[in-house]
Amino acid sequence: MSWIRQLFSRRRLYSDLSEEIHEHLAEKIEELVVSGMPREEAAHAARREFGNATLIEERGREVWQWPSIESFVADIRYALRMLWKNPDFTLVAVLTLAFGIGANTGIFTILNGAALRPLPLPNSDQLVSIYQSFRGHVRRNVYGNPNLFSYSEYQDYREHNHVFSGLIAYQPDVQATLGGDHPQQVSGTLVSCNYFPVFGVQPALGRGFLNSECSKPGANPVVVLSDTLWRSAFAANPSIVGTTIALNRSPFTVIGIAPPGVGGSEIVPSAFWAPITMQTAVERGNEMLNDDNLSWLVLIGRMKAGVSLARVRAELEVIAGRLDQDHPGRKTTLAIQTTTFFGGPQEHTLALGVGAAILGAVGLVLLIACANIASLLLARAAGRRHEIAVRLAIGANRARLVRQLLTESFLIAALGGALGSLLAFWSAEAGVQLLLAHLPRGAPPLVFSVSPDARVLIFALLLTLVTGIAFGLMPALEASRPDVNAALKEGDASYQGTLVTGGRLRRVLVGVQVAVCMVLLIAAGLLMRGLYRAQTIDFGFDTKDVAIASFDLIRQGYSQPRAAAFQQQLMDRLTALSGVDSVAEAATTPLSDSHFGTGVSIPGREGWQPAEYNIVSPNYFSLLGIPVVRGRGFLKSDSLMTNGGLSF
Amino acid sequence: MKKPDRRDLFPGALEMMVLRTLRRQPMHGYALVQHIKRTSDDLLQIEEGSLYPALQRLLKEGLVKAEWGISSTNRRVRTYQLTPAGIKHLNREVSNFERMLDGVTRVLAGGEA
Repeated sequence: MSWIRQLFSRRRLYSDLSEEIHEHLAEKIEELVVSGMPREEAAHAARREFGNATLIEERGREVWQWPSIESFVADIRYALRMLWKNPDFTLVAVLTLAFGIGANTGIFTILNGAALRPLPLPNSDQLVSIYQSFRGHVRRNVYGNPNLFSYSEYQDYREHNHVFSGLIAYQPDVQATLGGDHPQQVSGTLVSCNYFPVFGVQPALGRGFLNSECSKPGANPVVVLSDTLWRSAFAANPSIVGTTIALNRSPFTVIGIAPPGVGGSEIVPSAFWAPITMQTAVERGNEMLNDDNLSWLVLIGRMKAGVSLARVRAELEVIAGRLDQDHPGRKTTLAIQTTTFFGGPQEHTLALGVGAAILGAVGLVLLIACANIASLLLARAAGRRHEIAVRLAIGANRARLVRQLLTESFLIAALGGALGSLLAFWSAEAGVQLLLAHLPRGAPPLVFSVSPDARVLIFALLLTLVTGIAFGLMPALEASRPDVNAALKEGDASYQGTLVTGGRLRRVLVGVQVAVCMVLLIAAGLLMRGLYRAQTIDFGFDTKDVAIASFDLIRQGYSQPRAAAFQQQLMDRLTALSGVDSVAEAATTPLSDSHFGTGVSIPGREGWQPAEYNIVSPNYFSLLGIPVVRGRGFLKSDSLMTNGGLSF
Repeated sequence: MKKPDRRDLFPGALEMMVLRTLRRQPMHGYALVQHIKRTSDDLLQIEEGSLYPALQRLLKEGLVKAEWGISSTNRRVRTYQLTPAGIKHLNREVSNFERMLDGVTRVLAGGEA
């Protein structure tokens, strides 16, 4: 264990070395004096022959050290002392950085929680989402999102792959009215019966689905409730298991309650889960299971141990290629990635796009902070010029000095980064709460975790390092320029010269700050203006004093004639109310988030033009103040499907 | 300020010369450097100080050991002495060096032909 002995006897080793060098010089001088040289001249000559004694002694000592670590510790000690001696500077720099780094880390934390972090499910790194997109000759029905799968496609992928221990399919965000004394609208999920086992979730009460419950369409009206719904609608009563509840007026038997905190794999937590084969019972009027050309199911697989994403891709692409053979001219591309919230290609692009824009903005804020501290450091470097010149003069090399100055910068950055990250983690949580509380009414209750994970910590650390270099490097190089002579003889002309160049760098920094500030100000101004415009823009229709009520009678089990009768009666009675001027019907409201699309063929033009459409009652246009520019609007006699009229 | 052209020794050369010199007889630093300078007829430009980091390295590797004593001129000196490991190391280094030198010389001679 000689290195331990070295560690303890190091002081001795150093003093030996020091004495030895001293003796060497003494002996040399003695010899020169004996040979007839004046003593003073001999001392000079001896030193010249010997070289830089300070540096050599340091080199000699370094032999015994783990040089990088030990001089690093020394640098940190020295840097701490310097920061402690300048509390104002330290405070300003650390707070500025805390703000800059904190803003970035905070935004990244939210982005990470929303779009990057794997799902809060057991071994969620094995879960992969599969999305498809088509090229070529495609006619496809879409319910929700064009990247989803049909039921028969799901069955194909499930039966023919060897890479998943299980592949699930589900329809997200299925709206249902939960019956009872106080009916309420809830958002649930229709799932393949392997849903819970593949996700690794065991119901807290009762049981999950049996595979046989997904074998026959419409045969197994069973449902698993979320813990949240169980508590809010059924007072956490355990005897609810085994009883029957109504979803969109269809009876379902409760077979289990999911564990607390489990809301599925979507950003909108699911209130209930029912077998996918019960689709028509929940969504009456829609037959989706048998439509082989309908995009409506999300696919998530759990990879077998030891299977790579590349292998999953390769194997599923073979299946996709086989499916394409039934659709001449169609080419399917699969997007396969670790499952996250906002996992679909469209959502992902949106979340990352928005996130990148905001990160860009806060990145500029950090850039301003860096420029600010860099100019402070430059100003301080002018004050430390003498100190640095002395150290250069007694033999410190420049790289060592730059490293020491950089250590100071890193220390400032680390303090700022730590403080900023703490602020960020705290404010991300608070910020998300605030954001969720201010979502428009009727928006779904989003939940995502914004607690920091390894990814966030690495981001904060890297950001801190980069920041330290960004504001520290230039001032350090500038401060350690080896014009020792000039700096020692203050007042020398060339010393003035260096002050001027330092001043130029500082002026550049100020310029950068002003420029970046302008960019940010203009961007913020435009955003504000855009927001104002969005609030005050003329939509082309009149929303003043207009109230909207929406309902879906077909989904509630009304037949078409009964629904029409109900609607007519409702309209008549509403119109009779005092204070109601006019009542109109429409399949969707303008600028709402739901719309219908179809293809229109125009005589004389090739192919189909995509067009959105709405189904409305005759007085729709007059109620919203939409002028009919040519021709006429609908008449009462046009309705009842006897006449196809279109209005643009 | 540009440094005058000076051919550096290759890494390990100084150590090898120190070990070789010490094999003749134990010496202290000053005597060592004077001896090397003298024997090389001042062909090698050695900064006297550069000897000391080299000696520290050899000490650390256990190739030499050092002891304080009094010299013939009544000076306090730290005398270095080769260890058995140092002798082995020196033999290995010298034979490596000779092989290398031989190779380089042959190539240089071949270049003339």
